Amino acid sequence: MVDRCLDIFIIDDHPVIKEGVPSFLGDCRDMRVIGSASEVHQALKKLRYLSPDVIVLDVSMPDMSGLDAIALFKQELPDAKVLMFSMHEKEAYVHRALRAGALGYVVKGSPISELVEAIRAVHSGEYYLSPCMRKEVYQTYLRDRQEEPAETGGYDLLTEREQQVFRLLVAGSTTQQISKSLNLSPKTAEKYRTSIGKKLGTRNLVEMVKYAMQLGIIDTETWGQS
Amino acid sequence: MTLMSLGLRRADGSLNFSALAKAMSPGRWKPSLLLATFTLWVFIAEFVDMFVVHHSRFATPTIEAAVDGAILLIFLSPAYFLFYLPLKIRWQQERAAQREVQLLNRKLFETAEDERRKLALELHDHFGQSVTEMQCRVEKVLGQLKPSESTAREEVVALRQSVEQIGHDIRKFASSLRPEILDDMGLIETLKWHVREVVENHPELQIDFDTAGVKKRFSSDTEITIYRVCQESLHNIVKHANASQASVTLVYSHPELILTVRDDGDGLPSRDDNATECPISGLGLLGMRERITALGGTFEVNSKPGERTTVRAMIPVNGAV
Repeated sequence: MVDRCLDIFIIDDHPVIKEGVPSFLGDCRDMRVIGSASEVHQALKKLRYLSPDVIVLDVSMPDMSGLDAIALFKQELPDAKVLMFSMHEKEAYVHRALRAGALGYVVKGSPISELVEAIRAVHSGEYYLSPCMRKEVYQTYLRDRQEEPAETGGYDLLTEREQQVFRLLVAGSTTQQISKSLNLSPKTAEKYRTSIGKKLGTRNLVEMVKYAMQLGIIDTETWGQS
Repeated sequence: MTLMSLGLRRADGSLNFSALAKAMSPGRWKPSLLLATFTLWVFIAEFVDMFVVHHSRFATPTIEAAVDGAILLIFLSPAYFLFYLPLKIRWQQERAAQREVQLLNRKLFETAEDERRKLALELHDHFGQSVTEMQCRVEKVLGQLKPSESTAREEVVALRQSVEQIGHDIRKFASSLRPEILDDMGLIETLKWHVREVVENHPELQIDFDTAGVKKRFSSDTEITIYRVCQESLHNIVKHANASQASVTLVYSHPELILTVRDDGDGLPSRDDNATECPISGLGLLGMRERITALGGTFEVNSKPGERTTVRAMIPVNGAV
């Protein structure tokens, strides 16, 4: 006695996939496609009455990105496993998909037998990644782990106003000139300067300039022109 | 003779009045010539004024001052109409023309990018899908072949491989026309991916990517322009710079987005090379500058022969999305 059939739902806006994949999966005895949709919203409607084990999801959809849709499907069917089936061979997509809750990522154009393998793996709760993507994903992982914490982290904390003041400061403006050109009171400008220093961890103007040069905000050749 | 060479006198000897009038219209003069004439005019005015005041007897100093002022005014008011006004009009015209060129350039780049996007989409949707269908069929055939039919199996496996390769090539080509990752993921991920690609193809070059302050998406033309400039700069580095290290930095410094691409290569040999074009992006330094200016931004190239090159692109992004 075999196990219960593995129910699959396909969401893809291309008829080739929507029809081709079921016909291929038809050869596998333990799988069946219980439905398909070509749009995310259409899929959400259909999934109210169905409970597939695995959802095969494309990234590029006419109404919304498949990556954004993962969360919606997880909300609707917490037990269903999501497998991305996409033509994008870039690590960023894999990262976004896995973070959003997908378990697998298969690249369109790899042998279809891979899709079958992936569906089985994902169904049993394992992660699956197309072999052609593995190198890039591992390399990114290695690089990101070895990178020292970015020195530029503090800059992200600056508000737009502070960015403006920072830019003028490192371009050689005095606090007074800054307060004039940005319509601030000298006191406020001074406050900005202090808070920028705190956020960036710079103790004086020279350190600020060094910081700005590293980021390319100023260039020694065109000093003060920007 | 001189008049003739200037085109002011016709071949038969008669004066070409319309050309003469044009040449005399100060709005067409060079600003330096205009300034000199104006200064001369003021000197003459001052001289006449001094002459009149010196050789006349006035009842009171008030009248003397009034006459003095009147003479100056009489001389200066035509100067306003003859010199300042035409010059102002010309400046305005020039500015308007510049704006128009900028606008047209922008439209041109937009249209080109739009075409690329459409083409890439068509490639993906149409050809990409057909290839997938072919793949499905080939796999099916492979599944139906018996193990004994080994020659046929070999052929089908080879067929499967070439179909896979075609699909791969189509996707790669579409991506080079217009990276879909830019629309899906934004600038940072796109630049990261591009840097990785370049390093993969040129392991001898080390490229660092750094970003700060970029927390939101920008308008589509800003994003694609920054990407194209990065693409072109890295292409130049790989092709000509002979560099071992490069860096790409993307920083948002309100209200501008700044891209800096540095390398430690040979530097730019001469200005003539500015025209070299990149086959992928079709840009070249000149093209990059035009694209940036079309968006109201600034473009700088600093190069020290034998040491380094820095390319900086700054685009104002008031319309950040």
